Amino acid sequence: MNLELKKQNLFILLFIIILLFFTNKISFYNNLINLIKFNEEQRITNFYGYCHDESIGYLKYLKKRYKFDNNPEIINFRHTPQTNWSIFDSRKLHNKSNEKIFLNYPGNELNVALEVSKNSNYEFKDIYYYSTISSKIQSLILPNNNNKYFFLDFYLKNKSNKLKKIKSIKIYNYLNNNEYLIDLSFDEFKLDEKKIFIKITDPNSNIYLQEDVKIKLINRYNLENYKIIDNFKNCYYLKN
Amino acid sequence: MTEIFQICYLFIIFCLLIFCPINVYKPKFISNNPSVEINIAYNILLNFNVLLLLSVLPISLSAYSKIFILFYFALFVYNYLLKISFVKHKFNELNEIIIFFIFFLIIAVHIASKLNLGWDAKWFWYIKSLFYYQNQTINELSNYTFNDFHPHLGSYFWAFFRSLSINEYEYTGRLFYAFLYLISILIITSNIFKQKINNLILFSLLITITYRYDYFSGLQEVLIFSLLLVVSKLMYDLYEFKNTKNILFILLGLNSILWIKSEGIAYALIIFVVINFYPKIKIKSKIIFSIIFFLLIILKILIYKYYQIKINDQPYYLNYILNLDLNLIIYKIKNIVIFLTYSSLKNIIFFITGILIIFNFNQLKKKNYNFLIFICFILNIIFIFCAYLFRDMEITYSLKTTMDRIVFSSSGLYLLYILKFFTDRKKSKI
Repeated sequence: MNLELKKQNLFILLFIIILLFFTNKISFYNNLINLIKFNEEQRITNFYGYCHDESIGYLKYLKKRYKFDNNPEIINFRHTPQTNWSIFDSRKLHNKSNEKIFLNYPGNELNVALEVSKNSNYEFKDIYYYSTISSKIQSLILPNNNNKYFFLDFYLKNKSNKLKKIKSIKIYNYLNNNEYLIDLSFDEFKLDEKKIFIKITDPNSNIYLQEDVKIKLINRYNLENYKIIDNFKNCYYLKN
Repeated sequence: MTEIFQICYLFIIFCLLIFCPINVYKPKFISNNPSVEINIAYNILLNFNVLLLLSVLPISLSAYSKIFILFYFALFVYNYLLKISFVKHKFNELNEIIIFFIFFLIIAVHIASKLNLGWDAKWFWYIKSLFYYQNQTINELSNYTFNDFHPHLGSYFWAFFRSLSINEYEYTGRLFYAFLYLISILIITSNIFKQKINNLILFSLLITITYRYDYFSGLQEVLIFSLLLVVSKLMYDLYEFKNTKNILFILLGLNSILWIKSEGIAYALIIFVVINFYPKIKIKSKIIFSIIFFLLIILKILIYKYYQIKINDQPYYLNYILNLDLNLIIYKIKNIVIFLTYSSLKNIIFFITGILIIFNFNQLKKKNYNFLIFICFILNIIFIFCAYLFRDMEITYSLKTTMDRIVFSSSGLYLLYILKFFTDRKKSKI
């Protein structure tokens, strides 16, 4: 009987240890404080941002303030997951909308950093996303060089993980800075989920491979074409 | 504090679905199984199918959700509170209920505090739930572009339980996913050891090992995982005690899985094949089981046709499959093996199952439970390979984003097997 009791106490102790470990693993006390201290709206804003990243705080504010009679188109200039879930109204699915919400609007141009990848290439990450918010590739910014021109080879990674050259162009320096004119429309590439790589070669056939290489894109959306209804920092609620 | 109160209130609502319509302590009519956890499993599967039926009717949620739960409350009062036996049972199982509630509260607070939705949840699962929550029906849902990727049952649960909450916050619907996950683990652990306290420690340990917030971020894999746990319990019970009533409830489980995610059809087919390999079931029962199983698939197709929903909108095309070249197949297989191994090591259940099957390989000739799990596992592996080989999508991206989740949902089939393996070995040593 005594042994049985000892065994039972041991199990209770074991259970408490597991429980403490679990509460620690998922930061239960922090979660509890967060739940008591902030209401749901504040927690959403704290997590998703008000007018940065997914900017759900601003979207929720707009929905509350303007009571949309349709589902406005949301264009986020930062690549994040879908954001329209936060204000979506299924009852207004078929209502035509001439309203747009711009989140993290960068101005008329966007600078995208290229990442150095294996095989002495640069990877243009999320090119499909950028093709939806910009109309064309304007130029390439190559720091620390005096070359008048460069050769650019565009490669596409196919489904077997092999690179296939799809385009070669020569780019010239203009305005005597580190900017080289490309002026290519995104329509020149057949994009979906494919990866695009860029090889940069100088006039002496040396491969250019440095950090801080940026590609300049022209924004597809110009604020001047819209009427601003609401604005907070780089977030806008607009009408056509 | 209101939100903590709401979590407690929802816990009671969720409990109604495991205690009704069958009285789990004194079952009559449909079930006469004395085992409480099996009767709870029956209730879950029955209720899932009732809710499924309601979700495909052109009636908006607000018209019935509160009446539904009031009816269940009345049923609960009639079944339990008016009967003296419940009071006795209630005190017997108070420990289990308290521990279960503690874990539910911890997880619910985590979900309510974090609020993060997964990528797919933002793309379609949550938006689909909004259709139901905003009093639209499957008819309007069929007009939504991203509806065709997957079925709607998980999103419907999300909306249904959200509509029953007090302040109707988004996360309240997802708390049901946590409840289902916990109850399914409780079902499979409740009878492993003779002493209840040991089972409760096992339950706590499994939650600690398997719990991750991502599973509750609106993704549907946790529902598949939990349903597979429940179905695996019924399958074990069917094998061990020849309880043929379980066949009916396994069918209800498979039907629910079919309506949660597109790949549900693969899990349903795996279980269908395994049941047909059961040595102790009469041929007649197997034939009836098979006919009803295919009728359920046909019924789903007919409902999809009726509401003009595409039966399959996943990226699988005959033309692509026929034109796969050898280089691409080798490249894909190489990547599948790498990612499957990595995900299996991360999700220990799948990995241990593989090891145990190898360990028990010489027992497979006996056509026992090991043999059935072996078939299940092999079919599961074949499904994983086929799913990625024939998918017209960039393979590494596809594997990176989905393999973890496939391994997690599949592992629901094997958790009970692992527990039984270790406890049976211990018993045989004694």
